[in-house]
Amino acid sequence: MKKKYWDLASGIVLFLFSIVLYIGAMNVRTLEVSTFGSGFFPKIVAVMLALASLALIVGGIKTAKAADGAEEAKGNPRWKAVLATFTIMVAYAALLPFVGFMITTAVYLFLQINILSENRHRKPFLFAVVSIVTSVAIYYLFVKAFNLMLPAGFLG
Amino acid sequence: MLDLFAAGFASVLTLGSLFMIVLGVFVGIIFGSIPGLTTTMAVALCLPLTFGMPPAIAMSLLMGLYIGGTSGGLISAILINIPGTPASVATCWDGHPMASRGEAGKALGAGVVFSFLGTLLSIVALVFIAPPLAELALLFGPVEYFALALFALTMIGTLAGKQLTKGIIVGLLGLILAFVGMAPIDAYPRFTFGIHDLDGGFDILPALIGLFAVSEILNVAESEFSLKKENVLTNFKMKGFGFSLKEFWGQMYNMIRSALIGIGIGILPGIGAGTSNIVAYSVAKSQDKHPEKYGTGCLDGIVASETSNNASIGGAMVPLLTLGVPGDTVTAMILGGLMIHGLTPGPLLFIANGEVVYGIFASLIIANIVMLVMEFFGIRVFAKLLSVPKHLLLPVIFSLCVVGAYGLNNRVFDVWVVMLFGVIGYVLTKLKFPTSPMILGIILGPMAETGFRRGMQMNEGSFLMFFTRPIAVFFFLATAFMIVLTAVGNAKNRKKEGTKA
Repeated sequence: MKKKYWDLASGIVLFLFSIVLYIGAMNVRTLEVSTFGSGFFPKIVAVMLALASLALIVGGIKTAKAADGAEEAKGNPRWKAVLATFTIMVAYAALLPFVGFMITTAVYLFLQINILSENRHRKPFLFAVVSIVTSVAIYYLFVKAFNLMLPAGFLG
Repeated sequence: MLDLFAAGFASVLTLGSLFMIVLGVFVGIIFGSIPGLTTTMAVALCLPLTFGMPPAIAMSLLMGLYIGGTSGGLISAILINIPGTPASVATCWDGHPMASRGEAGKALGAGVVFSFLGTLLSIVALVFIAPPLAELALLFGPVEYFALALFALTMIGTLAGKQLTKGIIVGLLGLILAFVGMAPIDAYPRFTFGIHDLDGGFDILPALIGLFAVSEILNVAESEFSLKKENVLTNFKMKGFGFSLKEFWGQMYNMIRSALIGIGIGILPGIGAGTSNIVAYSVAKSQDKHPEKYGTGCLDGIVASETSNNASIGGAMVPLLTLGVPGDTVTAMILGGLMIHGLTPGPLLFIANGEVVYGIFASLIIANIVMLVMEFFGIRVFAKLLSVPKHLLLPVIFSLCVVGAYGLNNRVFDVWVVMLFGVIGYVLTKLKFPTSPMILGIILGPMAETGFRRGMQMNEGSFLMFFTRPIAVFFFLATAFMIVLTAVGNAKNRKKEGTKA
């Protein structure tokens, strides 16, 4: 989607979200019989969000019209790198309780450093050493010196 | 008060505390000086270190980080023309021109000395303002807290700047995220979708770590920024502090004015050093007889920016300690840090844990001195560290985020919360929404709601009570004033843009 429609689109999404929120707030269980139960604040905020997103939609239509044709193509965001980063972060959190902190962290670090660095700067051996040393160091530092619990996984 | 001060110093003048202060200042300066790493991040990452410490030692570490981080930004601002943190944006404007003229030593020296003086003045202000304010805050009931939260929420308008609508939306999203979990008063879970881990709501810390650390990593992954070698000026000379005594006295008035601006902006909830340095700079420029010299590398600009950003430290601690309302994003983190140790900031903290409060004052004073010495003698070391490659640094930071989130409650669930907020922060920045109003929403939402509903219960559903309590009325009027001010300012901005287009 073109950048000039971003405000308009996010305004519409937020407006729909405010409706969902309002409906959700109507169904919040509450103890009191008075008008000011646990659903009261969410309802007010939902109404305010609806108003604010309408303002965003109006502003978004204006900017979309104003920016007609003049679409700037500045830099190529590296979507692949963002997606890859996000994927390994999710995998990291998912595997953490099963594989344990040390191994998941070392693997995550190695992959992440490779994603963030450019091809010509890649030094796999150095990266591997940095990853393993950092992961082991963090684990022992926190578990032994600072009495923190970290998932040990099947090694523990 | 003096005996409390003595007790405070006694609690900090131990080997453990002093070591933590030095460590905090050192790590703080590094995080402050490297662009892309912020003071908020430094506090977030070091919090898990403090989980097992006694509160006094934990607080010395956090205070060291706060002071080091706020001051450290000047190094990269002057040497590579990129502010290390938002607190040093205005330092670039005169600091870098001065450095390119070959006067980097003078610029750095002035930055360091006036950072020190700014912090010092603000600590004095903190020590004199906080205790009486805490006493006044003892009178606060739910109605007053509701009014205070409402007033604090209007700061979103100031934080959002020109993007008022977007700022308000982000603030509202923060309020919505804070609804999740058990509702105040009746304690029925709401918006938890049957997930029991959500019954307690989102913890503040994982939320902040996600918003301010993880989203930054995703941002770097997207840009090529991390891969460029920074152009660091390293061939500068440091001779004394680089400026003469006469120049120093010439800055007196500018310094005091900038410190007052910094303290004032610091005290206002939610906005801190990131705002005050720019405000102080523009005030200095507009009041000067020769405004044209600003931006060409004049001492006055550096003094204004560096005095005011550090002066916001003492200011921001005032509402945090006395009312439990953080003065800026770093103090929002510190709020979380205090709660982990079972300390609830607010007027009662002064009575129940007076030694911790005065320990905090003492740590601030010592950390300030450590900062002055460390930056003066170690500036070359910090300048070298500016070229540590980001592709190595950021992944390590993420795994430290994971450690911090997991260590909070020993559950992986909080790691997921970090990632959720990381994605929220990333998407918001992508769509050009400011992220900082969200913290205000998350922290102040529950305060406003609890205050309102408790007040209503006490007054049997009558609105009248809201208008018969003088302190509450004062905050309501202040809220109305801020809303009008923001609306007028916004309309003016639009007019200006209209005439330009």
